[in-house]
Amino acid sequence: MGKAIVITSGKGGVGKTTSTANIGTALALQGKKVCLVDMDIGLRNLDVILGLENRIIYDIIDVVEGRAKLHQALIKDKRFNDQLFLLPAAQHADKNAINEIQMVDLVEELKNDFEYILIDCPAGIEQGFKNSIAAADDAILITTPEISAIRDADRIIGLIEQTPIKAPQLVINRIRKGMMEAGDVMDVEEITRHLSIKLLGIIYEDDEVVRASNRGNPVVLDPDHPSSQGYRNISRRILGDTVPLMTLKEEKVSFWKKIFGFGK
Amino acid sequence: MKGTVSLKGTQEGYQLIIQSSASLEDAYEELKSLTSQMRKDSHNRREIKFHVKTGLRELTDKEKNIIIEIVEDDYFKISSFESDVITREKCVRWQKEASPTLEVRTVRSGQMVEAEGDMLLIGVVHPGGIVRASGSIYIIGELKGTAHAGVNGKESAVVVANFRYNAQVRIGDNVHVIEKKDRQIDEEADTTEFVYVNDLHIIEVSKLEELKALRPELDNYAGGIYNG
Ligand SMILES: Nc1ncnc2c1ncn2[C@@H]1O[C@H](COP(=O)(O)OP(=O)(O)OP(=O)(O)O)[C@@H](O)[C@H]1O
Ligand SMILES: [Mg+2]
Repeated sequence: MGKAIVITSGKGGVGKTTSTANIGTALALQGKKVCLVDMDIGLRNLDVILGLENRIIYDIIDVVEGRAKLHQALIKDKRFNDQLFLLPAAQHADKNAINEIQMVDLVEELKNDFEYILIDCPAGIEQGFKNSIAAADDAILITTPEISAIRDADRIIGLIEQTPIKAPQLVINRIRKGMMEAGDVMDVEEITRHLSIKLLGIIYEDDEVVRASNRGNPVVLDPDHPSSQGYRNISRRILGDTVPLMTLKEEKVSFWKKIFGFGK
Repeated sequence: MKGTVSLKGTQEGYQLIIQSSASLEDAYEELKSLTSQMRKDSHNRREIKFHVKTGLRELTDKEKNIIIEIVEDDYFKISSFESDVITREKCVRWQKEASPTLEVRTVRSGQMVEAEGDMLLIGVVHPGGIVRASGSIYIIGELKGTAHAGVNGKESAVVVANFRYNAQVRIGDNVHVIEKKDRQIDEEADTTEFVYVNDLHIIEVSKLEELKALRPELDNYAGGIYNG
């Protein structure tokens, strides 16, 4: 029986979809069978980041309305052997075309075939949010170090506390070391303490995230980037490993390396 | 009233001509007496086929059935009905089927543009946008989203476009994913091609030169009106 995890934030654009794609891909890299569910009806993105956009034939609303069977709507990520699948959102349907009960039934069905079901939640606290939360066993809360994102995260924690889901786990995304060190934004410890939930991981601000998403290849596929390492650590913690938190200290590129391209 | 139905022998066979000015009730009566007379007259009966002409009157299916009921037996058969008029509904349907719907626009993500019959789209289908037609789809511009031809199951429909981007083409229930990286694209040449469903029910891309040979009926727009 699989486990369903919702990835949510409250505030828009903080990295829910990017995190869903990368954490899901990282879990698949670890040999887990994963299904990603895009709940952002009408503004779907997950398919684009995974490079699967032109493979969509049926979507989640087609399944709910009986035009397709669930297995027909699942898109296989060809980079893996039957490990990673996407259930795309509808782009042409109304946000309210699916309700909590339907979503719960659908995710229950997925749990028979998958070990992890990651639900990419839309921004806001409307129907899409309610559906995503209703079907989830656990929650991952994404925020950035900005106060406005942290405020929204706080609100979401309050809403999730009223559901059977146990406390969400925190991911702080788009961390810029320089700003954090200079005290321009709250640091990791302050944010975690303020929200008083468990920290699952941190992701650095990394241009490669954007580059990789634009190519339809989640950044986590390439281990050589700081953001990729962050996503890999998160997935290992989800699997129960104890992985130390990445250090905040900037790995200074040595003077000699800068000049001559070698040395430490 | 006499003279509402006349029988005419032609080289192609017998014609039953029903005057369009007469009432149908009278015509039924006269058909009854005419055919029973013919049955009496012929000793060695053999099969005779009648072509029924109704002039400026279009019969409903129900009326046709009454006539079939009167005329047909083991030997007499009605081969076809013909009138000089068609209903407005049929005419509109034919008009739609016969003339492609012209769309000049950008089809954006989340938008769906539909047509009955064939569609000619001048513009760009963005990723996440869909064009659908019960007939064929012709695109002058770019297809980066989904084009679905023959949506009601017409497998002979085609999609003509320049397939140089990631896109998806469907014909009836068949789906073909166009992957840019799998296609050798000559940036210079015009690469307009078409997608169709072949004899083995496999959907594939083919060169434009093949289109006329594989779908000779495509430009034959007057076809539909004569056979209902
Ligand atoms: N660690 C990162 N470094 C750099 N850019 C990032 C990072 N994480 C996310 N981004 C960028 O931030 C933007 C928003 O990310 P994303 O679409 O994942 O957010 P979202 O929370 O799903 O948004 P929405 O609320 O609209 O669904 C994207 O352009 C993405 O590439
Ligand atoms: Mg998103």
